[in-house]
Amino acid sequence: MNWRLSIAAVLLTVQCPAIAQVSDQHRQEAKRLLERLVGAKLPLDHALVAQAAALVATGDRAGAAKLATSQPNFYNLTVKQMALRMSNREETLRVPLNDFAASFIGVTRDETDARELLTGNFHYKGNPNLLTGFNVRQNIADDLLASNTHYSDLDNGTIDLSTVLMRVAGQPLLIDDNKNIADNLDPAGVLTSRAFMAAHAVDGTNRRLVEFTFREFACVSIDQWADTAASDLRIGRDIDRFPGGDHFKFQTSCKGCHTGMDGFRGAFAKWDFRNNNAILSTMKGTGRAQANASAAGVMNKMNKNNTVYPGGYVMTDDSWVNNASRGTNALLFGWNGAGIDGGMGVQSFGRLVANSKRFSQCMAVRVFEAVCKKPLDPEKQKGLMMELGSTFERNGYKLKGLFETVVLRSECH
Amino acid sequence: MSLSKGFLKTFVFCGLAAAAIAVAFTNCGRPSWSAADYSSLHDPFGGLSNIGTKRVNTTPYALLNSEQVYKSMLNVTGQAAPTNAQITEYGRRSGALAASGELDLINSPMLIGISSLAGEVCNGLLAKEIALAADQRQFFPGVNFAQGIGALPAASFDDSVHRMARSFWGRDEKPEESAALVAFRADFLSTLTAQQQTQSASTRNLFLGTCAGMLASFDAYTY
Repeated sequence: MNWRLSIAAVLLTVQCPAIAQVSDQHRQEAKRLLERLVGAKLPLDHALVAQAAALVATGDRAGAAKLATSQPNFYNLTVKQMALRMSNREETLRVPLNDFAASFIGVTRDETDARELLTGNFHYKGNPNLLTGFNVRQNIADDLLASNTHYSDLDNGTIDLSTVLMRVAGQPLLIDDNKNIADNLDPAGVLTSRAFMAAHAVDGTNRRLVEFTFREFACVSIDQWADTAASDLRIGRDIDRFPGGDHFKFQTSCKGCHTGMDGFRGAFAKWDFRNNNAILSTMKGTGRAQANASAAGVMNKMNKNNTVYPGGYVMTDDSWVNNASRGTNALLFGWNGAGIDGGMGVQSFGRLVANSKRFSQCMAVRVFEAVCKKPLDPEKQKGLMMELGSTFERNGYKLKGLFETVVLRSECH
Repeated sequence: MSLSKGFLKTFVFCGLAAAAIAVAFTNCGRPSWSAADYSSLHDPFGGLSNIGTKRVNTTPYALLNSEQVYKSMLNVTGQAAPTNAQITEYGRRSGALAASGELDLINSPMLIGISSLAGEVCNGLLAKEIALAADQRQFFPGVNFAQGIGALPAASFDDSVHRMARSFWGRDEKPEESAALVAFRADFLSTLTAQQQTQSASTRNLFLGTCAGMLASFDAYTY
């Protein structure tokens, strides 16, 4: 009889790994893994920790990571905070939820191709059917386009964003003072979100849109991709070629950043942020939208201060050129696909950035920092960054999978 | 409504004791490695092997930011939804809490903010548990809140401390921590008159101070 009991015990253990003994050490490892992804502390004896610990005890750490990314706080805290930092000029998370972050959460949750964050024609908002009983304002014109109230209302700490956010095709824009709305004719994911435009298209010359697109989605600051040897044909008339009377200073310093920035900023030529909403000049019925723009739709601010250097480039449309395609910049960005030399409008510009190797690597950097609570140095840890970027691409650019991959890396601990 | 001197004295003592406990359990002296950390787990840094021995790094490496602190406090106290008072307190304190995870962001206003928020979270926890039957409570099953602190068995206090430690800190309390909390209890008791020790509010206040002190300690807001 004893041998039968022994065999039964062995079979039970083999077939039922979940009941393998879960020690406090297993619990603590599972708890650390969970907390990195969900962003908040969990009790050691919580049922979720026990469930993850059972997986860890059998060696299935990947299963524990998947368990973590199915939790609401993974979206409500970790993904949201990562996106919020990318959505504003100060790169702070001390701002309420906005449409930029909502799209990030939705794309992560729905496991769609993350490249559509720079190219897609969609937005995410709260599903009215799931918001009964919550005080969330939902008028499209007043609360989504002319203000951020819809998203700040969603961010009250009691609404589960992972449940209520729904994807909506199209990106509406206000087209006149009567709150009439039409779909964006040049949608580019979060690049044409109200939050991103509010942060970077206010006044100025729309160069900041270019700077921050690369800063947030390629993890490079402007000085890192400056190239004084590239063509200066697209540098605007507002840039002094003799700063302080010194042309050499322009040639060796100013030109480096402006070749790239001014080459790309044409993509945003028809965009502005005024009266609290994003404006695309070429929208139909554009009584207000066409104000402050040329007949071709180029915003007047794109050609302002034109007496500084009258021989500079005059912007007449929303064409852009890629002056960051030479030498080290070609290696840095890893441009890929069609249309890498130039295009028209924001969507084609977004596609250029999204298809680059650097985009994948940058998303890996961002996720690493969000999960591992420490920076990933793109220079000193280049191999890791490239490996994670390649894995991200092979897995269909799914952000959720990237989080699950990163948390299991030894470099994360 | 006027407050008695005894009540005010007790309230102030609870607050100071909570702050003292918060500072006392900053874990500054805890070694990074200990024999207890040796584990028979598979290597957590390799991900493939399920054999071998690996020490587990327990050195704090990052702060929780403001919203993470708030949600963590609610998580570890088992409160699914915040009360209005907790929402208000978080709104008042969030600006003083860390904006990111760098450990060098710790400062006095942050510690004060965490202590205040912890107090309100513990208020909610106590209200929730007092309303439950003893055998349904997560943290205070052996506590009779209808009685004064003088009737509280030491074992019940110790058990509640143990439960809070595992939940708030993710580990068992260390002997020195347990001793400090027992000393806190004794000091708290000594501030009360014999009559106050029979009042049910004394039991509630004791656990409010203990809970807040443990919830606002270093282990509760660091990774």
